[in-house]
Amino acid sequence: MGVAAGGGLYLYGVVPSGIETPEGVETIVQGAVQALAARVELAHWETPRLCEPDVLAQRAHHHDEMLRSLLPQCTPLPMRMGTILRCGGDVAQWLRANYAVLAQLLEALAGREEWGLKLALDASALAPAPEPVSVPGAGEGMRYILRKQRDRAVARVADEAAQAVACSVSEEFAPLVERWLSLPPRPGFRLNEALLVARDRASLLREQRDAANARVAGHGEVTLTGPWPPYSFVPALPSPERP
Amino acid sequence: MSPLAGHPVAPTSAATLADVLDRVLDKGVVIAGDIAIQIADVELITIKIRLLLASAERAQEMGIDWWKNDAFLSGKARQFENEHDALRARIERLERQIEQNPNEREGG
Repeated sequence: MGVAAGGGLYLYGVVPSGIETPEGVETIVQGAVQALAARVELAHWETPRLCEPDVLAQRAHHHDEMLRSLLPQCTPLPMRMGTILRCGGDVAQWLRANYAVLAQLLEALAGREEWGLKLALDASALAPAPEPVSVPGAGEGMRYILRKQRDRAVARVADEAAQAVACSVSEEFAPLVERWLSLPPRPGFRLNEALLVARDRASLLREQRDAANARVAGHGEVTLTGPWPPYSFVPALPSPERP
Repeated sequence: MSPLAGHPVAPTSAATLADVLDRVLDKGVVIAGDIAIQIADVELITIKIRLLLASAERAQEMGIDWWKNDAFLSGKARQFENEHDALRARIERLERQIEQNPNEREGG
């Protein structure tokens, strides 16, 4: 599988050999593993183009949708978006060099999926009702300071209560999860987590979400995203060596 | 090239673009090894993406408005945030002044 100058092979991921692949995807097979690739023009992947929000969004969704389409058949090892090698020979070389690790990862992750767990909380709804500030003889300046101190104390209590809710929700999900990774915090969310869950536990996960939502109703919402390919649970692997 | 043409995919429930970007840009199998940057133009492009678009947080720092409809991540929101920080600092300064000498302020 060669690629002409100006082109490259975009890698979506690695799956077990024998998996039925979507139309238009090329495969590079190495023993029990195969890489899924598509020919691309490198000009389409230049950084300035990717900085256009619409282009980046389209590419990201395409990459993800391709990998998710495989989930009913297997758990693919997703490549990071934008992984392009020059030719099929490079891909084959990379597969050979990392064969044992790739085969081991595929086996270890088989039957498992990544889920996203997010908890949005309105901490102010958990805050105690503020006591009125009443100090005989205090001037306006002192009353202002006392009100500020009171408001800070109320906010601190609300934050602690929100944190307790987040811990409680985490503990409720923990028995269903094989591996757990915190993703970068999101504004407005107390939890933004990646969970590795056995596929046959997906319904239990949804039931747990519903139960948690019943408990936080009125001041929060628990959201599940997924299933995703196990993006957050695969490691970095060495690049192909060139002679 | 559209390998996915005619290939239906079930929607990922409740996932936003930011959820997708968090994963596809910053996670997944990474063909590591900075030596690649010296070897071929193809790897160079991959490395560029890695360096410039390493994560949603990094892009936000760079001022890339991927989520132009997301108020929090828009450039205007950042401007408001800066103004908010400046106002908060000013209020805290005033509070300290009042705390140090409340009677002077009330009497003044």
